Amino acid sequence: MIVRPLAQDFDWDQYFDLTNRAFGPADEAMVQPGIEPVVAAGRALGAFDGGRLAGTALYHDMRQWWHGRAVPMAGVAGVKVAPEYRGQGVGRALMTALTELMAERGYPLSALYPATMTIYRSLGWEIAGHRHEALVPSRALSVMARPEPGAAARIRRPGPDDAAEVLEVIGRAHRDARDCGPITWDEATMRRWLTRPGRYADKDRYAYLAPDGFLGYRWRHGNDEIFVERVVASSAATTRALWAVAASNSTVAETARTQVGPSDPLWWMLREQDANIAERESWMLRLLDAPAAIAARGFPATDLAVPLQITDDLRPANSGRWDLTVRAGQGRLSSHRTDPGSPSPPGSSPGGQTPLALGARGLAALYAGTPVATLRRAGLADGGSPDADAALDGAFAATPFMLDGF
Amino acid sequence: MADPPADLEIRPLQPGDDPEAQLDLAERAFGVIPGAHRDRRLRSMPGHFATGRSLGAFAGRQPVAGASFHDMRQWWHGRQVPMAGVAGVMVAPEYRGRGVGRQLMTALLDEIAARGYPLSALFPATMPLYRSLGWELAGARDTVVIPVRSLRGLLPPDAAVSSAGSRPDPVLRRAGPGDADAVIAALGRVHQAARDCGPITRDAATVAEWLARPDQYAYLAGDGFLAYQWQNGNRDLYVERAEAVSGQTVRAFWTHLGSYASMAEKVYARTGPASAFWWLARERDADIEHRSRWMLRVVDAPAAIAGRGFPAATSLSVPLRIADDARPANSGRWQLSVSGGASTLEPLGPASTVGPASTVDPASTAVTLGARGLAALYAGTPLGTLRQAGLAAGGTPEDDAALDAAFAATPYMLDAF
Repeated sequence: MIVRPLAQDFDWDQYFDLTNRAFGPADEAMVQPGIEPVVAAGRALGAFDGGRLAGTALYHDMRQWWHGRAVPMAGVAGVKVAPEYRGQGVGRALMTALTELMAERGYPLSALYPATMTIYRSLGWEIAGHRHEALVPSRALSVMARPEPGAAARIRRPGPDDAAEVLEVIGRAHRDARDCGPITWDEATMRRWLTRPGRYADKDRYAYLAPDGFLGYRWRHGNDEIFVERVVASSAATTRALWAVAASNSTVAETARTQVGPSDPLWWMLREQDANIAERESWMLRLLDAPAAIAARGFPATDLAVPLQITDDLRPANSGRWDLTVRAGQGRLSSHRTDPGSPSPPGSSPGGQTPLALGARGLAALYAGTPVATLRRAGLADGGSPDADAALDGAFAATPFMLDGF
Repeated sequence: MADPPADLEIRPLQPGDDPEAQLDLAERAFGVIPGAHRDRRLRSMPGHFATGRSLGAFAGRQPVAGASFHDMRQWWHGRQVPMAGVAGVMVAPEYRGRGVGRQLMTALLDEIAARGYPLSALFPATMPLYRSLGWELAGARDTVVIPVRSLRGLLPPDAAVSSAGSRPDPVLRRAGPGDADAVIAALGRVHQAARDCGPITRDAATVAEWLARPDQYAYLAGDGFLAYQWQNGNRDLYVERAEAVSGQTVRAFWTHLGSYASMAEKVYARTGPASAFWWLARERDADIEHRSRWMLRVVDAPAAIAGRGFPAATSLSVPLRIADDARPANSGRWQLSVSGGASTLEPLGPASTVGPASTVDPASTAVTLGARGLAALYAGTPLGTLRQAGLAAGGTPEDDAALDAAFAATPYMLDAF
């Protein structure tokens, strides 16, 4: 069994056969244009048994928003093993190689939606956030969304050439809200989605762009339901105006299924408790480069200095004794230097603090705002001190979400 | 809307009030109460009426509406704040749509304020009434579900975390009505240790009554509490509580529940969104079965702010302008200060109407909130969300960031009332 990047001239028939066996029937016309650039960029790995494609794993080039700053993130997808090769370590070999590749290419973070969690946990991923779908009677939306006069006039249909602006507008909304978790795709992908037939441009799927907001939605189940993929906006007026566009379908579609985060304004805009979470999918996170991941994200304006003891066998560069400092919204993870003149015993910092012990999984969950008390109860953290726990919770507090599945 | 009833009298219920008539009102509002519960309710009513925490609306001698509150403590960032838990808000069908509920809730809010509660929470059957009186959505109460089999062989503690798992297994002992204080103390330690936001504590008498229920299996460990019962005959289990300070005890509780795999199919459980539960199963077998949302009202703003905990490392000083018609004492210009884990809300006095043209009136740049926005902020709703939902205005981006850091929370409850 050899694991190597898929070459650009590889056998698409084998690829689709594997995809169909692993995930069920796929729409090849929709899948291929999405995978081709991934293969071209060397981001797709295959496991080969002679000429037979036994498994694949790939990643997308993404940015993930963490407290209002975009961190480069490798979004793992398409991890599949042919049925007759399962249970033989093929998935592990692929994921180990992919982790290596993503780290080599400098991604501080990686995220994925697990079909099974065991393998990803063993490689350092941990549950970090969710993707929610809420079900709302569409009439409840139309009652809620009365646009301010003039706001509707600033909404237009974006085309392929608006890809950069769409990404800018979505990113600005996440930055302004200091969101944790949502991702933005690269410009080439967005351009493809805005070109027919794409994610936002086809006979049943639509997008609307405002100077500070974006709406993507599509028909579902004929015209019984609309699926509102996202309403993101920086201003209240645009939020309302975009919801009004989606809600105007209430005369035809009975329900709206909508992807919203747990703090989405929608929950506070509806008059009654008409929205219910219909789907909640967990995603997992891994820190590939701990110092870079800490330096790149945003933090609240809180000060802390906490010693950490990280054990990460798969990414040994993350292992060791670190000092985590956060000051004025900027985090830093620096290698702990023992002061030769210090009388403090080994295992404790010069300040006398015992470091908080974390594995790769605990580190990922902490990064995503899981309270340290929860990490301790789940067996993902130990050591440290109550004061350090409180400081860490204050710095990382978040309820991460995503509006994309991949 | 039909005319408001002319002869409506609103007053606290008294032990002499007819319990059968109150029960009839409750059944018309919420559905029929099964036999055993019915007798228990009837017996307990005079005692509840004696507390003065139930109001009734009467047309002549006929009770046409009711509303009451429970005496509770609510945890906010690891500190307990007295909270009036509103429940049993009901109006007889023929009196609905005539303003009776609003009159009653106005009186109840006055009573809650008069008794000094800084906070009030409720589970709304409808929201416009409560919003018009200053309650706003604040948190969730989840019922989660997992196959019992998934609780056998929990994910072990991370081997990278040295000493976890090396401590001895906790001893579980059965808890009865005499353990009410111990149960309250154990749950209090859990919520305090996690600096939880939202969970409530009931009084000892209520907890003792609950522990006396024969269908409830309750266990105390040194640092936690487990309580569950059968559901759907013996097909499933329903877990009221499985909360503990330490990982060993959390694990022992869920392993205990996993021992039912020979009999039961699923475990339904009340637990919070950041509960260790979500990180214990090997596979993604756990899900949220049902989510209810509860609303909060800040009844006495300075007391509510002073009574709760805040993150220790966060300090801020932000001017607020609050407009609260139903509780005018909350209205006005305030300075919110947070430092060292504590906070104050101090009056700034009236905005100056005259001043040098070159200076900006600080009041005009203050974060402006109504009662609803204040409640949602208190519960950790991000300022960006409040602005988009039309619940906040004014202030600066720096104020927003500071307030978000101070109030950050994902509040939850484990109780229904």
